[in-house]
Amino acid sequence: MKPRTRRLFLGREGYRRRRAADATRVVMAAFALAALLPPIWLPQYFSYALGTVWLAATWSLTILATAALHRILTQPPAEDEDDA
Amino acid sequence: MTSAIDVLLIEDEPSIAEAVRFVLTREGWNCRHCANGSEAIGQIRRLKPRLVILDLMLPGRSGGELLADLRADSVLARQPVLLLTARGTDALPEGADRVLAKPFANADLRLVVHEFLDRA
Amino acid sequence: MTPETLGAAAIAYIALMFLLAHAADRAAARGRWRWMDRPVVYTLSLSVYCSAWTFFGAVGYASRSGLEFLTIYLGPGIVFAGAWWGLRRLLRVARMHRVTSIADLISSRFGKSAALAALVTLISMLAATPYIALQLQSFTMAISVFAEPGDPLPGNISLWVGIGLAAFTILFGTRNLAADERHHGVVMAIAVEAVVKLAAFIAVGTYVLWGLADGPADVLARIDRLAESPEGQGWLIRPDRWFTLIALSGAAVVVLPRMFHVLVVEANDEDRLRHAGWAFPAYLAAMSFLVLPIAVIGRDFLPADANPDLYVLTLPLSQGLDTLAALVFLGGFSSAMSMVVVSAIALSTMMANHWLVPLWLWLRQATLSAPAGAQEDLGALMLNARRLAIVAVIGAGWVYHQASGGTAALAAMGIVAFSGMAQVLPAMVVGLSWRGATRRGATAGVLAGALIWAQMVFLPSLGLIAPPVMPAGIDPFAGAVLLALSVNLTLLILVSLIDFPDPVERMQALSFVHAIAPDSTPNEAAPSTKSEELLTLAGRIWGSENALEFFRGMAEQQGKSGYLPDLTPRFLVDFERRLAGTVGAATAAALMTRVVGRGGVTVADLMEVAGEASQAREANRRLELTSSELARTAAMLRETNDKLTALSAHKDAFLGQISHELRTPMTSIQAFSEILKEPGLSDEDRSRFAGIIHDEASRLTRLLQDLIDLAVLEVGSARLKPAVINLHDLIERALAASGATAPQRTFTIQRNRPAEHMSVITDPDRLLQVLINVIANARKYCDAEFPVIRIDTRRAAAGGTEIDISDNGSGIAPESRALIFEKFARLNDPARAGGAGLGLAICKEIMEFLGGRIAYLPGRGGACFRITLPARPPVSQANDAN
Repeated sequence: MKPRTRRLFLGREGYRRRRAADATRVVMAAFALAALLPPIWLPQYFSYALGTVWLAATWSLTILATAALHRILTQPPAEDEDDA
Repeated sequence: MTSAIDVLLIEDEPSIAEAVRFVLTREGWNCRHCANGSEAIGQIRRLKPRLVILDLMLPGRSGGELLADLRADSVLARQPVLLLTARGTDALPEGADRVLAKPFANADLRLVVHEFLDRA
Repeated sequence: MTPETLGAAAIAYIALMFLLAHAADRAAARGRWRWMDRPVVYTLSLSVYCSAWTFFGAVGYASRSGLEFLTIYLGPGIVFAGAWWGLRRLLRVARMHRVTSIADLISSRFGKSAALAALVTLISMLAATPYIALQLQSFTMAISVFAEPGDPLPGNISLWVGIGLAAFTILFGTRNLAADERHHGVVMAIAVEAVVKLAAFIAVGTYVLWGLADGPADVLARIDRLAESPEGQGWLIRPDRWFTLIALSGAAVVVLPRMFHVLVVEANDEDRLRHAGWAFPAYLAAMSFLVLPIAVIGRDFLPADANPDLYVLTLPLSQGLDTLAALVFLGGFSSAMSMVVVSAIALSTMMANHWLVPLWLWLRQATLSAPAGAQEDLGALMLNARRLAIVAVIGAGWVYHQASGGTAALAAMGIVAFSGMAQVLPAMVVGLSWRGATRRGATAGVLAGALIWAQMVFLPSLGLIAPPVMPAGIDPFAGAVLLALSVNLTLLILVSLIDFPDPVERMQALSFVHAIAPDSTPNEAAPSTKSEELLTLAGRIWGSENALEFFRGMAEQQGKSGYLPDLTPRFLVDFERRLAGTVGAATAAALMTRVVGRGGVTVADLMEVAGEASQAREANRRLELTSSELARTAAMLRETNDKLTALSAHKDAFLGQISHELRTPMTSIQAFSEILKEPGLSDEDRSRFAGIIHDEASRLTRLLQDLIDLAVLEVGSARLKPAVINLHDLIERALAASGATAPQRTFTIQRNRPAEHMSVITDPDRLLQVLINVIANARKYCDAEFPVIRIDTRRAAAGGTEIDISDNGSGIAPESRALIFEKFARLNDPARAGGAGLGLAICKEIMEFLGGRIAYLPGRGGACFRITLPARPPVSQANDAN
């Protein structure tokens, strides 16, 4: 480990990775909204078959998107992103 | 000044001490032995020997340190000392009147002690 | 398929898990764990989330409440979608502080508070007991399905299951006290069980989906038909419950003790979240969406009075598919077993670390620091505390199961547990993201939340008091949980805002929130004489081998050789953290204070070291990297210099020494041989003098022999004569030969004879010489009143052999240890115990010649020498460069 100065801008690789990390948060927020809002707002539609299909579809999409994003996130630089 | 004790031998090796005492006693001298460096000064002060034969390598207080102590003492500064050494002859401490290297012939020992004691 | 055959199958299955866990543990011990240490194993181990509640109860839940059962899996699904920024931070911080449990995490974050840890442990224990009871109940229920109607079940099934699970947990969960809380065998077994339960569930699910129904479309159509029936009203989503349950399950997947254990404690690095982040939700999705067809078809196919909790079993049975039902039974058993085992491990660690050990330390306040107490094996004490706790945890579950009669629907108990553990969540989340959260705030919040939960959720669920009355339109459960959580959070924030935390707390807060390693304070530097005491303490907890290994590593980092690092603040912090990995942060801090006796940190120190501005932090960090590098080099240089100075003084002295050692016997010989020539000696004197001459001559011979030995070894012209020998025989010979030294003293020799029987390839004569030398030294210098010599032998990691020879004397003073292997370095030896001070120097040369080494081990009470042999000696003459 060598001393590292904080860079202001990242190269292409690092930039992609940073945006992929951002995207995982978007995916999470989107899925949370999808799982919470429709059933709470319109329970009479989302309690049965439609709800089942809706949840199955959004969850599968989320899983696929997460898998794809995590693939991009190989080997993160050690301290670039504790800006949570 | 005369003392009842002619020689005080300070030597930790028991077999060497026995040999030296045997040789000197046969010569007619009164010889005492002390095996421990830290007790030696007290013995010298008490017995007031005419000659101290001092081994260089002693447990407790080494012969060199003992010699320095003697020379620094106002009363004992002029105490005649014969130093026995089993190391090389280099790096000997200051202050000894004579030095005898181990191993030595008994005749040499007698001769040196005679020189000391006959002088008085 | 009778209950008996299924019971036998379950026993066979558990035996298989024993074998598997054993094999995995052995592989890990031999360093072959790596190939098993994969993200897939980690992901599968996370499936302890799916307990028997999922396996059986989810179908029942779905039949009664429709899609609401999905909330239990959607919550984790959301949390894991955000694994990359949320969970990864948690993992990083937890690993940095070597957190052992959820209680430890909270306690460590809030100033290593022992009280907070004990409180969280209590909540976990309360929440887990019914949950474990549920697992035992599910087993009984499942096996009763196979019984002929009216046939009584074999008595006490759940008791035997409990005993079997406790045995498994004790065997593989409390094997040893490592510096981290990882259990490879258990994790491997859980991963395999995860596969079994997924396979079983998929088997029954696909059978139902395509075998009994006509595919997904048919199931969806049936769901919509159900909407019109009166039961359909139960399926209508209630928004307050929907929201609350998703939030609760999202919390539970992190804070449930068993989840925290597999997710955080057993994790090797945070990178595996990349895989688990999508693979675990996929696992959950597969399990949960197959629940629906089973629930719908079960309702349509089975009689109305069939228990929906058991549809997974009764559906295949009703179709005569006994084998499928048996597979499902094993799947359900797997999920119950892994839940109970991991819960028991996690809870027992918490109970032992946060209840039993602090209690013991408190009782032992006076005696621990006294030397007499130093002999106790803390490690064994802690392991026993955990074993006791495991029996208590599983026993409590069984007692609860017996007492409750096991009638409640499976789902209810699970949700009660979730809502209880969720009271820890605000403290965790706020604690990890806001530096201002304080211990008093967290305690107030958790305590208030837990009390409300106990009053409004837990006790009513036991039937002890009536459920709370809520305003119309609000679900009692959701209302109670939201109330408890909001009071919890409000108190946490309010109390924290008006509080002023103590310095330790503020340092921990800084470290947790910004995920930077905890810093040290300057006034922690302790007198260096304590490092041996710390080594002893570490040895009592980890076993002396592991402790030595750790201390050697730390000393190496400081640029020092040997086993005793300097007590730099950095070392103390590292050591305390390592200790915390075993006993928890609060206990580790207490132990350190006990041994090192450092004073508290002050606010001024804090401002000095951990400046609150991030700029200062950054600068500090950079500076520290450089300065630690420098310090290490300097330490290395200083040690080399010290050694060189000592050596050169030694070299000068060496010639003088040789001269002295040779001339002294010569003097006696010469004097007495001359005396013998003189006349008039008595016969008695004559023979005595001859005797003296003879003794001195043999002394001279011995010395010459030693010198020649040394010269030959040093020049490298010695010939190695390797042979295969039994170490036991060699030790026997060495003991016999060294008996001549100090024969007047009686020694107790402690050995492990069976362990000594191992074959060693080496030069037996040379090794014998070393053994004799070391044992003779022990006989010569051990100053204990009742001297004991202890010989331990073992195979070392790389196939080599280690022989430890120790005594119970006062050992060798630290300042002399650097020189004992040098020539003529005879220590404080007024009696000149015979040899010339070449013995250990020769031993060192011989051991190097044999390709091994000999070293002094500190911290063993008396003197202890370790002789290390390689698996096979070096090829002769190949390494004679020196």
